[in-house]
Parts: sequence; structure tokens; C-alpha cells
Amino acid sequence: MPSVKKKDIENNTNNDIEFDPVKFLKSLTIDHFLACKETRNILINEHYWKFESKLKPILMDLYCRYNSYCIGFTSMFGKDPHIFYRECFADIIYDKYIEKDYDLSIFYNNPELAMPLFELNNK
Amino acid sequence: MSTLPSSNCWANHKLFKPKNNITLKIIEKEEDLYIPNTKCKLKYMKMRPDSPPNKCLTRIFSQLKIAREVKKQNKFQTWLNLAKNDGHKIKFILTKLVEEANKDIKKCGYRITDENLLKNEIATFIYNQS
Repeated sequence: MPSVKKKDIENNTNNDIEFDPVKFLKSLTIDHFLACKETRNILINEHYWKFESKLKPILMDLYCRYNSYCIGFTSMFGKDPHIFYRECFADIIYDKYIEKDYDLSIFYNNPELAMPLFELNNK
Repeated sequence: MSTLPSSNCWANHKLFKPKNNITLKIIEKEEDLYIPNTKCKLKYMKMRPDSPPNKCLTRIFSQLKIAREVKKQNKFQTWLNLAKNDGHKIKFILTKLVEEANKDIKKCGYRITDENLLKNEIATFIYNQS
């Protein structure tokens, strides 16, 4: 007859093998990720980083082109002849008018980033 | 037999404390306010906290607020209709800018929450820079 201790150890090893972090993360919804402070920050930063590398330069360039087109016409862009507000222009659009579709694949590819979420769910 | 209280304070176990505490109060004299560019003094209307607001005054202030808004809007509309040397109005330039911005945003795979509000926001932003 196997001892109780041995049985427990066997059960534990079985549990360890069964737990698949990616599967667990895929079972969660976006709200779970947003409810956790650490994962929310990761998602927000990741989304903004993608915007910064993809769309922000295009919007800034657009502002610069129109500003340059209006040189000498002080009624438009008159207070910003040195194009200081190009970043502000892009950020206003991002903050208020771009839908935030957060991409969860960052956690599926790097489950260790979701450690606080595992702790929250006692995994 | 009842006894009358003595006029002597020591006899009645009372101790009179002399008022030696001196309180100092610094009161700043309010400067008279004048109506700008005139010699007329400005006086505030006295209102009791429990009295209802004066209907006539409330109406005047709300009308003033509306008038101010209308004036602001008219100024904005005048600005929109200003034309550049090449004949293009600001309204036209802004429309083109917004169209291009929308096109770029969609091209990069992003979705806009409200296109009309975005148009207003860009117009207001550029108006403030002008």
C-alpha cells in the first residue's frame, strides 16, 4: 500500500504538469487583464508603443506639412511657426479618438509577464 | 434662618479674575475697486444667504453667457472663412487635413471613436494655435 505522503507528491506533480499558463491566460477576458494593475500598465504601454512607432510619425508629418504650407499666413498656425506642437497634435488624437483594442498576444507569447495575474487567481 | 449672600467676594468663595488678556486684531483696509477706465467705484450687491436669487439678474447673466458664446462662435466662423493668398479658405484646408488624418489612421489599422468630434477637436486645436 503506498504511503499517504507518496500519494500527495504524485498528485502535486500531476497538477504541475496539467497547468498550462497559456491555456489559462486564453481563458481570461480583456477585463481580467485590465482589472490587474500590472497587466493593465503593460497593455497600455504596449498599445502606446505601437502607436508611437507606427502612426505617430505619420500624424506628426501631416501636421508639419500643413504648417509649412501655411508659412506666411499667420491666421493659421500663426502661434506655432517652429512646429513645436506636432507631438501634441498626435497625442490628442490618440488619447481621445483612437479606439484602444489591446492586443493580448504579448501575454500568450510571454506568460511570465502575467505573473501578478496568476497570483491574483491563486495559480 | 436664611442668610443673605454677602457682598464680599471672599466670603462667597468667588474669585474674580482680572481680564488681562489682550487680543490683537489686524484688519486690512479694503481697497476701493474701480470700473476699468472710469472713476466710478465698484460696489458689490449685498445678498442675504437665505434670499432667493434675483430672477431678473439671473436672466441677464444667462443672456450675457449666451451672447458671449454667440460672439465666440461668430469669431470662429469668421476665422474659418479667411482665405490664404492662393484662394483656399481655412475651412477647406482643415477639411483636407482631417480627411488625410482619418485616412492615415485607418490605414494603420486603428479605429476612430467619433469622426465628427475628431474633426471639431482638430479644428479647435489649430484655431488655438492661430
